[in-house]
Amino acid sequence: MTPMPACPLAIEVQKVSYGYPTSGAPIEILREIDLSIESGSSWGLLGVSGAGKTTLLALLAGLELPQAGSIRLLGHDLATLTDDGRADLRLQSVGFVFQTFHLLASLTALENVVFPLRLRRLPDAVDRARSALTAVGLEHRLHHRPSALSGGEQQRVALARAFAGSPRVLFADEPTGNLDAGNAERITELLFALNAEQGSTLVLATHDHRLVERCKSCTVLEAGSLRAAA
Amino acid sequence: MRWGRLFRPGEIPFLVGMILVTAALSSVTLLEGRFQQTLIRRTEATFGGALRLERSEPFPAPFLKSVRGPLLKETRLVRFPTVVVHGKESHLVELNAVGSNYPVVGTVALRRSRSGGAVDLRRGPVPGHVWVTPELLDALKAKVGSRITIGYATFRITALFNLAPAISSGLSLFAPPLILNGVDLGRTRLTGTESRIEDFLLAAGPAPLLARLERKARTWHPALDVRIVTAQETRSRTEGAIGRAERFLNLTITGTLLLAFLALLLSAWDQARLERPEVALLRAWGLRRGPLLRYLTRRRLRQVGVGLSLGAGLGFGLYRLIAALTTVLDPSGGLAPHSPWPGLARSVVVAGLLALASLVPSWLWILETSPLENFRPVSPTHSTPVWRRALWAGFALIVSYGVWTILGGGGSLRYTASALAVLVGTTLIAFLMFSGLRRFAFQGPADLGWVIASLNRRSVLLSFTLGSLTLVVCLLTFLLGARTSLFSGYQEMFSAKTPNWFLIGIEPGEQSGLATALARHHLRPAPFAPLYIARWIALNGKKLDPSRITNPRERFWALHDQSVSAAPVLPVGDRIVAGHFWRNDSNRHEASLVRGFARVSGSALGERLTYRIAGREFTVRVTNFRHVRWDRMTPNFFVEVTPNAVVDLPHTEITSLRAPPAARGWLARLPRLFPGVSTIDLDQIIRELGRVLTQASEAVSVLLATTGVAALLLAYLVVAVTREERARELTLFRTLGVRRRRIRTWLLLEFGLLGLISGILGSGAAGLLGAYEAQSLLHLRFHPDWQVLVLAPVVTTGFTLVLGLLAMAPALWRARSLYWRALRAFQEL
Repeated sequence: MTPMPACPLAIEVQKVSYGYPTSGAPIEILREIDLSIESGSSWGLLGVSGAGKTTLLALLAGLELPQAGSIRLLGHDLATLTDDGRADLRLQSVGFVFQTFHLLASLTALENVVFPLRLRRLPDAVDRARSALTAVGLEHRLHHRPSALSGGEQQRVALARAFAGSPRVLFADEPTGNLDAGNAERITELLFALNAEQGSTLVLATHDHRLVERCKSCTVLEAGSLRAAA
Repeated sequence: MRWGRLFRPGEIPFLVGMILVTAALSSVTLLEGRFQQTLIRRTEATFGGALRLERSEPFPAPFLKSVRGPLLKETRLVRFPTVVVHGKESHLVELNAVGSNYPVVGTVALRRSRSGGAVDLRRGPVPGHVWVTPELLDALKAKVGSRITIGYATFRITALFNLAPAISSGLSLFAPPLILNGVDLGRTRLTGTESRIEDFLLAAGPAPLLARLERKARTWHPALDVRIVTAQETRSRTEGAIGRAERFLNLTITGTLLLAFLALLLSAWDQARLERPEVALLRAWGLRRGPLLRYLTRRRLRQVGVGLSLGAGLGFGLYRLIAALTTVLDPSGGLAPHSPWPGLARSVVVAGLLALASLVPSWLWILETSPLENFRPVSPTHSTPVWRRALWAGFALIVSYGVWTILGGGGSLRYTASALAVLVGTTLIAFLMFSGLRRFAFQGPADLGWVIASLNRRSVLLSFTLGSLTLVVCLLTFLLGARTSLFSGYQEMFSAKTPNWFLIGIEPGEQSGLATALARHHLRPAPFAPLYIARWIALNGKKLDPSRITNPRERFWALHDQSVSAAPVLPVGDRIVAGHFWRNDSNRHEASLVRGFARVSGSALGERLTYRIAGREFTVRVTNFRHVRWDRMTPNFFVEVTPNAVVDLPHTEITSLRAPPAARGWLARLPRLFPGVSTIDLDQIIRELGRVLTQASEAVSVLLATTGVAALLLAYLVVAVTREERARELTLFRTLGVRRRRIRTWLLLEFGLLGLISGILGSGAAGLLGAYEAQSLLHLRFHPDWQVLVLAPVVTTGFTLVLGLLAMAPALWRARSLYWRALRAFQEL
């Protein structure tokens, strides 16, 4: 991996198309999409279920390559990177928050946050993890396993895990989708507060209008194409 | 029904579990049945009558004449060890000279050739003929019809036998039995005054006549000094022997049952997880629980039927393999008739019960869970309380074990409890070890931390698996490596100068001639030692009554003859550990006892022991205890007395010598020159011992391998039941940016560690067990077989690696690539 270039655009997408292969004709999900997201901004992606939000996020994160067009993440053309190169890019510079938290059941809250930091060989991994968990108000739940935490607490651990590594880009896919209104509100506050504090680029996919309203810019995904939100 | 419909890919572990349970149960059951049959037959054959009188000198003629009557069947049998010669070959045998009425019960199964059919005869050999075992025939390189020399006479081998009434002994491995007609005994000139013989009077007939014979033997005057043994007593001893043989089998049975049942339970749960969406859909469509249960039951019964059939076949094959390996241990030469059907039926019933019992909790769980919940992709272990499943598993196991016992399967509560205790103990140790490691998981490298955390995800189950694997590896390694190392240690115990031949039964008149003959062949014997056959009759002047002695060892010596020697000086290599050894000019009657012998027979310094030799009594005072170096292989005795205590008493001489291989032929022919002398080739005995040990180890290893497969299956299933959870984790790792190679390394490390830890612990324990047995019990230097000890962890690691990857294979390779799985993670399956 070459050092990360400082670039004004965190994500740059040109003419990207993508479809799921089937035994018959492929199902087209995304059609010739163009997109630019500035570094340090927050970008919301609205769309109904099945619109292709998750697919677009997966492409932006380099989990899958588009069948046409190009994607540049933090200045890297994802198509030119190897599988390991893309994995390294994610590990060093990208954070994720999922709808169903995806915490590792066999690890404690602290270990869940420490583990990705240790994978990056950060020397102060434990201190960072403690700070991150304290920042989300879970300093008293460090040694609890996910099964002993509520849904809201689990999502806060996931947030701590995502932000502890100071990612340059944070992908959040329906981060409040599995939470009640109270917890959803709290997570939303935390998400935007931490994002502002760290100056990372937030890419948020959701069908919740209220959540998207907090973003600096917003786009709607509809019938495989992007259009500006009203 | 097509195979693919009967067993879906995820159901194969259940089929393997079924096959394994049935195979393990049936092979162990059949083997146990065979052992029992063999021991019972051996007892019947050994006893050879309803009542047996035993003496260590010939029965007086007036007594024999007095017991004869028309309704009582009786015969004599004289037994003693000697050497037979055929051409250049000689072999130690147990000679059995039988009387004219032999056998009083049972028949002798005779064959005219090795491959010929057996004929049952109710008589012994005619004069001039001898019958031998196939083993002796091979050892002598003779064939049926060959002539052999026994003492001063020659005989023709006319038939082969494996078992004959009253003819069998514990020595049969080294001194195979031989039968000749009692009238030929005189011709051999091997029995003289004070020869070490056993004289048996075997009797059968109506109970009152037997009771009268027993009374007569007890009251005969002068005292007959006879041992009276009934068939009933022997039967109880046989049952004891069977019980001892069953100890090991029971531990294996119980261990295998436990492991296999757990494997079945796990695979049933795994199967239930696969079935949940299907059952949920059927319930959602409105299918009632009753028909659903019937559908599940029918399907399962078919699966269980296939598993039972294949398992029973495999079990029978395993049994045949073990039986072939254990032929050497079976005195009937593998001929004991034994029908496998009852054992097979019992195993199949119990294995079927176990299988159905293991399936019931998963059915209940499926049926009591709402369809909505069944649709959710959660691990089944999260839905039902652990205590409920554990309770059911325990109940099912107890019921199955109960049925097993009721149907006559081997096992006792004590040994089951022992097996459970060993398994629980090793599981606890493994659990504590994993828990300890877990505390420090993330204090080192992240990769190792994750591996340790991942290993702990089902810590109790994993610990049980690790404990079982460790135990099996330990026993297998011990049998394969340490056992043979012990034998090597035993062989190496003898230096290049240690005597390897014993010459016994030397008449005092033969001593100088023999010494000259040996010197002519450059053979230097150890000093000749006199051997007196003595009976201990009184302690401190008080006559011994064996029936009142409670100490079993003391009673044994009161009932049996002892070998006593006389020495003016302390034998070379011996060390006095208590008291003082006599001066060589001592004219007192003193005795020196080996310390171990004194301990078990309850003797103390200062006690007066009275012995009888050839009707003459003498008393000696115990003045010292000795420590003997038996590994010097020079003549030595538990009891040494001052020479003047045994002046003019009948005896033979004994010596030992070191002979090069070139002298073997001459020594083998020595009994021709000195017919009273018996030669014992220690090298030959050690070789035979090694052969028997190796075969026994191999047979037991095959049996243990069944348990090993059960433990490995359990390891596979521990991974398989967490497969989906692991798959989700792997997807997450890929999303977070962990390289594929790194994930593979974690998996390999995790599965490998399980095998490596088990292997190292098991191998280490085997080494310690071997060292303990060698040094503390056998007083040998332990030479570990490093090849086996090192190979054991490597092989175990290999097995767990392959099984772990196999268990993960569906998750790893079902999807086209990990990308697809990563994508699915986003889509929230």
